[in-house]
Amino acid sequence: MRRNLLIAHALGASALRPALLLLAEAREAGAFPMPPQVDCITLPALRKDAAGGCTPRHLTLSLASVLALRAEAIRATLRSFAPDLLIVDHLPRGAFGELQPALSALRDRGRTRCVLGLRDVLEEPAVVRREWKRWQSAEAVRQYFDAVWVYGDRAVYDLVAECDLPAAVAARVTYTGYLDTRCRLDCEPTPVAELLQTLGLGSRRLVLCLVGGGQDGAPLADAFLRAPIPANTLGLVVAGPYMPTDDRRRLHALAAGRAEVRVVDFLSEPAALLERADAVVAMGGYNSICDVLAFEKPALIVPRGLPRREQAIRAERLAARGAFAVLDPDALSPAAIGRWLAAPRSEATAPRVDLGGLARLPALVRAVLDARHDEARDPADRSLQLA
Amino acid sequence: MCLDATRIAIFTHDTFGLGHVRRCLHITRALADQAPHASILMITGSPAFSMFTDLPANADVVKIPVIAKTGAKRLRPSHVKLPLPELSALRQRLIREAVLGFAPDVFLVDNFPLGSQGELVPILQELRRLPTRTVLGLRDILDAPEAVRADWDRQGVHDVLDRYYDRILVYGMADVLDAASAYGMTPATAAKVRYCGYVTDDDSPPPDADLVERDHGLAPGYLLATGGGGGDAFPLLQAFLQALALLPGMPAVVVAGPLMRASQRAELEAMAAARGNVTLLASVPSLRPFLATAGVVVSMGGYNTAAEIVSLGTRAVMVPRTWKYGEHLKGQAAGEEAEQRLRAESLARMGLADVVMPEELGAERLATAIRAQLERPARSGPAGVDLGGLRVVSDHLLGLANRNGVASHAA
Repeated sequence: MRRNLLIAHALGASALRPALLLLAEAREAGAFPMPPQVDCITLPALRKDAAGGCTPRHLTLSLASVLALRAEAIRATLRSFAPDLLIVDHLPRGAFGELQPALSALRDRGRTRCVLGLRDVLEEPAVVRREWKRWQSAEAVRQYFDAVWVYGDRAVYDLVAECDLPAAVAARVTYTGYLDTRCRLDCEPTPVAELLQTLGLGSRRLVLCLVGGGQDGAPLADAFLRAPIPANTLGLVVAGPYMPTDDRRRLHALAAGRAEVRVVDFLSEPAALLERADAVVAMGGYNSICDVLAFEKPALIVPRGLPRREQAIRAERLAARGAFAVLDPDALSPAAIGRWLAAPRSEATAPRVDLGGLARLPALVRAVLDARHDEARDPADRSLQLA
Repeated sequence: MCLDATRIAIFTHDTFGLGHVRRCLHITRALADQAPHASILMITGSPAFSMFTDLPANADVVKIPVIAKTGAKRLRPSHVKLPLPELSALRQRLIREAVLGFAPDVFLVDNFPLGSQGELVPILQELRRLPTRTVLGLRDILDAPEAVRADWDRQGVHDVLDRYYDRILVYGMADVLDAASAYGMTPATAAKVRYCGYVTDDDSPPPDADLVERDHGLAPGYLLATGGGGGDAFPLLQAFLQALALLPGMPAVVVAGPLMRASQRAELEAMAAARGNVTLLASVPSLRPFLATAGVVVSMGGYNTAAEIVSLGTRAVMVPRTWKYGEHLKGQAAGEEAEQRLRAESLARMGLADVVMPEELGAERLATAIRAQLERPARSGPAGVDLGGLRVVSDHLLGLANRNGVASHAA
C-alpha cells in the first residue's frame, strides 16, 4: 500500500497531472493519508491461511462470494473509469484470478495500457517459478501487459535472470530503481513534532525500530526494547497497524519499565521521524529498506526468518553493497542489538544503489502511453493502480 | 465459521464532518458485539476514511469515491479529477455491485434516503425483488421542518420512503422532534417510524478518567474546546483562545479536529503557544476521556458531541453551526441550517447546556457563558434524555434480519 501511495504521489505531482484512483483492501488504505488528487476504492479483504489457501479476512462469507463481489466491483470500476493506464501490483491476474474478467474486457476495448509493478525481490527463485506457473502469470503478462516495472536496481538483484523469467516477460521489464521515500517529507503535515515532544526526546540521539506492518514484528521489537541503549539516546519502536493486540500490549509493558525506550502504535507518515533519527533497526520489508536507503541512515536489518526468503535475499544483496549491516534472525537477541548500537560508526558513505524510481516513473508512463497505436489523446490522463 | 450468518450492509453517504460516520461505527460495533457471527459490510464515500481502520473483526468496508459539497446544492468530486456525472456513475455501479454481491438480510441507509443525487433509488428498487429488508436511519433533527419538507417534496423522498423502505429508525426522541409529523410523512411511511433514543458510545467501557492527567498532565476541571471534525470550527476555537485571556489561571485543551485546514491549525497553535497553559491537539482517538474530566466544554451542536456531553453530564457552552455544511470553505454566502440550533436549544431548555449563537461569538460573550457554567453543579445526570439508542437500533436491525432469515427459509 505504501509503495503504491508513493507512486500515486509521484505521478500526481508530475506534469502528466492524471486523474488517479487507487483500488485496494480497506483498512490498509484507510490508515494512510491520500495524496492530493487521489481517491481510493476499497474492497473486502482476504487473508492467506497457513495452508497456502485463502479466506475472507473479516466477513463470514464463502471465499467464492467475496471473490465474486471483488471481481464485479473491479470490473465495474474499470468500465466506468476507463483508465488510460492500469498499474497492477504483484499478481498479474489478481488474487485467485479476480482481475481476469476485467483484463480481458480492457484488452477488447483497447483504450487501457496495463503495467505490472513488481518489488525488487519477490521470493526465492524456485518459489517464484512455482507460483508463476501455478497462476500462469507469464502467460497473463504476455497477453495483457505492455510493460513490467521492477521497483529495484538490476545491479543489486536481477529479477529476470535470478528467477529465469520467460523471454516474453523479460522483454517487457524495466528496472525503475528503488523509490526515494524522502518525497514524503512534503506530504501532509504530520504530528511527529508533537510526538517527539510528548516522548521528551530533547537533544538525545534517536534510534528507531521499524517492523513494517507489525504482523510478525514482535520478536524484533521485543529484543530491541530489552537491548542496552547507549547513553543519551532514546530507542523508539513503531509497532505497525497489524501487530496483534497481545504483542502490542506486551511491548508497551516492556517499555513502561525503562526511560530510554518508548513504543508508539502506528504512524501513518514516519518520514519526519526518519529524518530526525540517528540510526535505524528494522526488518527487511521493501518499504523499510527504501526508507533506510533514501534517508541514508546507518541501519541494522533483521530480515524475516524462514520459510519466507524475500527479506533475507534483499538484505544480503544490499548489505553486500555496503548499504547496512544484517543480523540473522536466528541470532537475534537484545545483546546482539546492543552490540550494534554501541559499535563506533564511521560516517556512513552512501551506497551505490539506484534510488531514481519515482523520478523516472512519469517518463515511463509517457512511454507506455505513447506506444499506443490509436490516435493521440489529451495528456491529462487517467491512471488506476491496483494495490 | 458459519456461512449462513446474518449479513447487514450499512451505507453512509457523508460529504462533510464526522458525525454520520461515527454514528455508523457505533452501530457497527454494537451489532458486532451482539452478533459476533454476523457479517457487516459498510459502504461509504466518506472523506474521513481513516476512521474505518479500527473496525470489529467481522466488519469490512467498501469505500467508494468521495463526492464533496461545495455550495448550497453544488457537489464536486472531491479528490480524483473526474467529471461529476462519470464519478456518480462509478459510485452507483460500485454500490450496486457491493450490495447485490453481498446480498444482505438488512440494508441500513444512513440519513440520506436517496444517497447522493438519487444514486440509491435504482438499487433500492432492485432490492425489492430480494428478501433484503431496507432500513433508513435518521438523525434526531435533520434541519428546520419546513426546510426538510421542501427538500423532500422536491426530491420525491416521500414516494421512495413509501415504496422502498421497510423501517425508519430515528436516532432521537419524539419529544425533541416528532419526525413523522414535522416532516409531513404519509401515513404509510409514518407507520414505519420507530424512535430509538440517542445513539451514543454509551455501551463502550467508561472513559479512562486518568488518561488526560496521565498523557497531558491536566487535573480534572480544565476548560475544553472542540469543533467536532474541525472543518469549520476555526472561528469558534479562535474565539475560545481569545476568551482564555479573560479567564486567568484556567488551563485549557483545544482539539482542532482532523478536518481542519493545516494553515488554520498552525494559526491556532501559534495563539495557544503565545497564551501558555493551553494544550492544542490536532485530533484525539476519543473525546470521552476529555469530556469526562473537563470542567466546562465549549463545542458546536453536532449530534455526537451533544449526545456524549449529555451522557457524561459535562457542563457545556454550545455554539451551534447555523450555516450549511462545507459552504464556509468557499467563502460564499452560506445557506442556513437549523439542525444544531434546534438541538442546542432543546438541551438548553432542559438545563443541560448554555447556547451562544455564532453571531454573538466573541471573547467576552464566551468567557461570560463559561463562567456561568462553572457556577452550575458539575456532572448532573442526563435528566429526561434517552441515551439508550444504540442497543435499541441494533435490536431492531437484528430483529429484522432474523425475521428475514425465517421468511426466506420458509419461502
